[in-house]
Amino acid sequence: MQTRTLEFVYSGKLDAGYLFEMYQGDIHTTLEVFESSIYELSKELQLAVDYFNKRDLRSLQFLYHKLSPLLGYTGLPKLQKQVQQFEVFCKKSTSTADIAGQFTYINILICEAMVVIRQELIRLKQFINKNA
Amino acid sequence: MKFTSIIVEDLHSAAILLQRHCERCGIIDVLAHFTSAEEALHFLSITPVDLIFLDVEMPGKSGFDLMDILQTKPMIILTTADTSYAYNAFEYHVTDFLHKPFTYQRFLDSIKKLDKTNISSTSVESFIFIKVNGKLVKINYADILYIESLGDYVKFVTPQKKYITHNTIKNLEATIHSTDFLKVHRSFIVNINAIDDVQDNNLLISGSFIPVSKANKSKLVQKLKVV
Repeated sequence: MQTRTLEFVYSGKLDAGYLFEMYQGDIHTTLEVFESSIYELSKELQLAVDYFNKRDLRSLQFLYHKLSPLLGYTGLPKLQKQVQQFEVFCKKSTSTADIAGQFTYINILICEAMVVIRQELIRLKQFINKNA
Repeated sequence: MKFTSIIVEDLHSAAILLQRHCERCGIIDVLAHFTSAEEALHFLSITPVDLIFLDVEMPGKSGFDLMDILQTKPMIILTTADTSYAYNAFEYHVTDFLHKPFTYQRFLDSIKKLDKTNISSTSVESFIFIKVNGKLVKINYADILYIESLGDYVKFVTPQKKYITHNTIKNLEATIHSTDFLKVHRSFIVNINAIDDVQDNNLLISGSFIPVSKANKSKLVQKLKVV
């Protein structure tokens, strides 16, 4: 597969330097990973609600562990760290009641991040189509 | 010489990026990606590899469980989002420990640690095992004349026998690592050495006409080194 390096300017809401170090300017791989990440984030968030309702703290902890790198792949390393802290909080807690407030808060942050990622996906696709 | 490898990773996004890093670096051949240790173990029982990119926490068996089970250990690069596994990782004598997500430079630093003397003889593949009637049959690449798609099955044609197994041309194209084979049509992979002649959009192998699609004709001509 031929890799083309195009100069795409990331949204200011994402960590452009971090993304460049990861993708080396390969815009096609960036698009592919962003698409996959948004799909996995949606799936995992739905599962998180299910686990919370079932009071399954261990599965919740594992889920946030799995989910956190997705935020890194999409240029949101600060939010990734917040999710990792929430994962540790889950580990230290003994019931889902203990984490309820934090659970809602972190999910709101992730949902807001997903809006940003979706917008960036649209921009990435437009950029690739324009330069095809 | 390239290192043969597999990726064991339940996070699809992580696997995509890792695979692209491997393609970019040019010295790692990723033979397959598995989302569980169980699937990887099955593959490894048939196909040894030089290197495993291994996630630690996965549903079912963990990466450490997989390393415990493996009798012959290829080189291992652990990939995890949790740095607390680092101590355990080095207890297992892994080649490196990559903290997800990692940059391309960090990936390259890891690849530099690979021991080239550990490249197995399977890096130069000369055979394949296929499942036929519940048993695994070894076929030497040199014996395969061509492979034909039959829907969800494929037919391996050798001078002596024909074998039908559950697989796809697309999958085989990715699995067979031999420069002697070329996909000439969506339904056919041929052994270049077995071609008797080529005429228009067909080639002849042992009395069988194989269609060559327009898209693949130039690749075929390149392979045949027409003078």
